[in-house]
Amino acid sequence: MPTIDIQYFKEESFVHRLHPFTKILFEISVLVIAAAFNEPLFLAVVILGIIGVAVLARIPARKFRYMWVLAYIVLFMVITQGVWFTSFGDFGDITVDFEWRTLFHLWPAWAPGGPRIPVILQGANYGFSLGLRVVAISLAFPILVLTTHPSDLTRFLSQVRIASWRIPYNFIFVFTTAFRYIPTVSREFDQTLDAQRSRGVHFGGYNPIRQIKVLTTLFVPVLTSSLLSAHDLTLALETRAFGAPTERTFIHEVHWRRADWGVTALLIIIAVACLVLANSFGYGVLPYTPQRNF
Amino acid sequence: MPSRHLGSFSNPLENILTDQAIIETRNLSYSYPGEISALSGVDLDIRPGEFLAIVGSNGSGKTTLVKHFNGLLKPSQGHVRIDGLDTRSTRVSELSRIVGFVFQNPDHQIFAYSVWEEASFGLKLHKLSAEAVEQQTSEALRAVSLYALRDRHPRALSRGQRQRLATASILALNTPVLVLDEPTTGQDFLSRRQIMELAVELHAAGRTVLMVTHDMALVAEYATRVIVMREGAAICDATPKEVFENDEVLESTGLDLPPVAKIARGLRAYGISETTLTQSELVETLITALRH
Repeated sequence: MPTIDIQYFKEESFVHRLHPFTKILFEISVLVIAAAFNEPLFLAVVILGIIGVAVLARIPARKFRYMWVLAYIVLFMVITQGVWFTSFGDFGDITVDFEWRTLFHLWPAWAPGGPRIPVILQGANYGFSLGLRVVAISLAFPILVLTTHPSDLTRFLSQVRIASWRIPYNFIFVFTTAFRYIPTVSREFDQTLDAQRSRGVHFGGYNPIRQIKVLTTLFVPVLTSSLLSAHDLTLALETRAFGAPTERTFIHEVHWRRADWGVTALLIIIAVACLVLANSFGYGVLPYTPQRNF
Repeated sequence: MPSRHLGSFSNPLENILTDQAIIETRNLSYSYPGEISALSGVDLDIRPGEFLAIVGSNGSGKTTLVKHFNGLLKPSQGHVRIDGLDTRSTRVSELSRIVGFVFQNPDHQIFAYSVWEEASFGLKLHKLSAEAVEQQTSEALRAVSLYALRDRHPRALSRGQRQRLATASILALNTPVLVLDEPTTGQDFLSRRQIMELAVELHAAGRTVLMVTHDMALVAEYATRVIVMREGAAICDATPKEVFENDEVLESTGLDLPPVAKIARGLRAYGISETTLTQSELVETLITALRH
């Protein structure tokens, strides 16, 4: 089990120097673009673009190693959509000519009563694109956290104001602390896994009831120690006057540079262009999906 | 600690007579994914009945090494054999019948609602009969003096008691080899002594004990063999006395001498060259010197 290591790391890169807002806008545009397309090829291009940004940020590939678990999600989507896609019923007015193609049957022909439960090519394809959306979003998200110093993120969020309303500092603190604790909990998880395996617990058997029982030996120690360390954290906060009724100051000031204007404009243009391409021209949208409504 | 019941712990005793290594590493190298090597070319033969201390500064590869002894880590190069089984092709759950591993932090393993349940968990996994579970669990809990607290919730125990509970849960498995990863860190003097006494008794009862430690006084007093790790290599494999006489090793690893050995060093200027490891040895050496 690879440790999830998404903690800020210091590096002199273009992405690191960007304003937190620009990077949040990047996350939002990835969400928008991934939602606009549902054709695997287009989503693959989006994923390549995100990898490009990660390379620009000089993020070492091993930080993304834990992403292999996404392969299971993709596989799950492909199979479930392959089976159930055609049973969703109302597809609206689909003008394009096509026919459902059966890839294979989950209940094979040689089995009694077979063949049953067909896996449909178009459904599997759609499932694949849903999986790729998850991959795209999961790849983009760590870029914000890995390249932005937590206190810069906190600083930015505390500057956000709508009229006289601000985001309460407590919320911001919870938000940024949660990120900080992901690697800690992940490490805790690994150590617990080692300790339980050492006393003969076998993870990954075929008996589901036994597996649930076995998982309690993992989750109970991890949850208990997380709760205890959260309690310790509150004590540490109190001793450092958390919530003192004065204006907070920050050592790091985050500056909005010229590059931020450029990147912001570029992101908005790309996102809008993708939306127009998909919704008005139907590029990157599978012909047999309800999303195609023109 | 009250009287112990180590009766059934003594069956590994017969192993002492054999010369066959129970843990054997050949050209063992390991690197953590994406990082530089943590172990390089370690060759070791650990025979049944040894009391082995593994010492070295933080990050020298001690824990990485011992994690190979029950298959938690698989060698990048070379191989590790535990009682003839290659760790690459054997499940950790199977190796856990041969090598018991006590971790530094008991809170990584305690999950049950009572001391008894926690201590007997491993035995139930090994599908032993109810009587055997009953017997081995009580023996293990008595050995760490927690038998009276068997119905307590583990969270209601002190840190030292939880460490002993974690130890008991491994003891109950009755494995011929026992690995203790820094067993005395964070323990007060009394618990430290209790843990060491327990280790000594288990060793006397025929178990092979491996201890990762920073505590040189423990090494001097109990270990029969010391392996010094530095930058992923076993740079010295000798008796405690030989290690504490080896200035080169001591200097390059920053190991501190136990107080008794320090006094003995101070006495060198007065013509007493013996490196003593325990208080009684030192007293004896001094008395002999005074008489002459």
